[in-house]
Amino acid sequence: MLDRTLAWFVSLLASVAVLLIVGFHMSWFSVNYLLLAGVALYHGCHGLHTMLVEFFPSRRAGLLITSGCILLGAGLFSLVLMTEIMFGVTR
Amino acid sequence: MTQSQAVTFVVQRCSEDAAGEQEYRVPIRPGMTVLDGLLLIQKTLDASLAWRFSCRMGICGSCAMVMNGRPGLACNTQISDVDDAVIRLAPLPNFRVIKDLAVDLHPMLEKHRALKPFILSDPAAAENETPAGDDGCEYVQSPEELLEFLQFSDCIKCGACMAVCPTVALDPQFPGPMPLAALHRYNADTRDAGFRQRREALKEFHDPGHCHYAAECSQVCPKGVDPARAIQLLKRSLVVDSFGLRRAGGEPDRLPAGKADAAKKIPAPDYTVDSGG
Repeated sequence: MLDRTLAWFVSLLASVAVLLIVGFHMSWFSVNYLLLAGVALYHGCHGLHTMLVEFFPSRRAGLLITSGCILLGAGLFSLVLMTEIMFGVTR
Repeated sequence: MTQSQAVTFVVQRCSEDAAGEQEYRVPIRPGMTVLDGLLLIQKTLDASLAWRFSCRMGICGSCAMVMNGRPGLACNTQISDVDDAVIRLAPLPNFRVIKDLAVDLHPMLEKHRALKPFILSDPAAAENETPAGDDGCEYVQSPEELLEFLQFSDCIKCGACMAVCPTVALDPQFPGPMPLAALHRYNADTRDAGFRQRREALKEFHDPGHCHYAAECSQVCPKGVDPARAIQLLKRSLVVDSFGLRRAGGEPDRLPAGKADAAKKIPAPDYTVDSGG
């Protein structure tokens, strides 16, 4: 598990990565798409996590929020991955 | 400003004696501070008005309050600099009000204490070395090394920065600008080896990454400490440390008593008075 400082820093890097990936050439569209989905979901879930733990600052709530955000991010990414594998919607 | 002028003090009261806003008409003279005005009100108009003050010269940080919407020290704010007609006074936000303009600073000071705001010697070296002072040794620090933290050591713990921090307003687990600036002040000190211990202590709170860099803390600081910059430098040092790239800093330079000047001649920085010796 990333430490909190590293998680925050990776979230900043992810926001830059989103901008870069959006600007990539489209010949590797599926790879780009999955990469974009991954970094964007990480960045979004980290931001959501930060906001929620500020609203609900107790340690117990923090654990629930962290677990929820990890599950949400992983779940949405799995959905994107499965959709891409099964239907190839981005091709 | 003439002798006959007067301003209206509108004070936010919160006590058994009074609640809500209360107005006082106060005669003013040139050079009069907001604290002078409050003392005059207490002496001549309303003895029940409560606030905290001590040094009257911007050193103790006791008299921080909100003056016309902006936190600052009542003792070093002239009435003429705030407004010519109406001075609105309120207690510092983000703190529990004890009475009228006096707030409870304990939560801020507890966070400050928890983050170990003092020089920590290296635990590994502690077996063979005694702390400075015990053996008469002196720490040698160059002016450049001093400048790394000098600005941040001017903090008087008045709480003005905490009152304007949007993250502190929402998140009680966030240490806030004052404790984090103090933490960085000691991390940046070459005599200190307590980075790891403070990082551990920081785990009890929400990460400095929660600072949104509104930088209002630096705008209102009456001592020009710039806590926002300290927090950004702290974030950088934590990230570098997370990647394992932080330089340990090594042993601080120490010399036996009385030998420091002879062994290592350090030029006096510009801001010191030349002794002529």
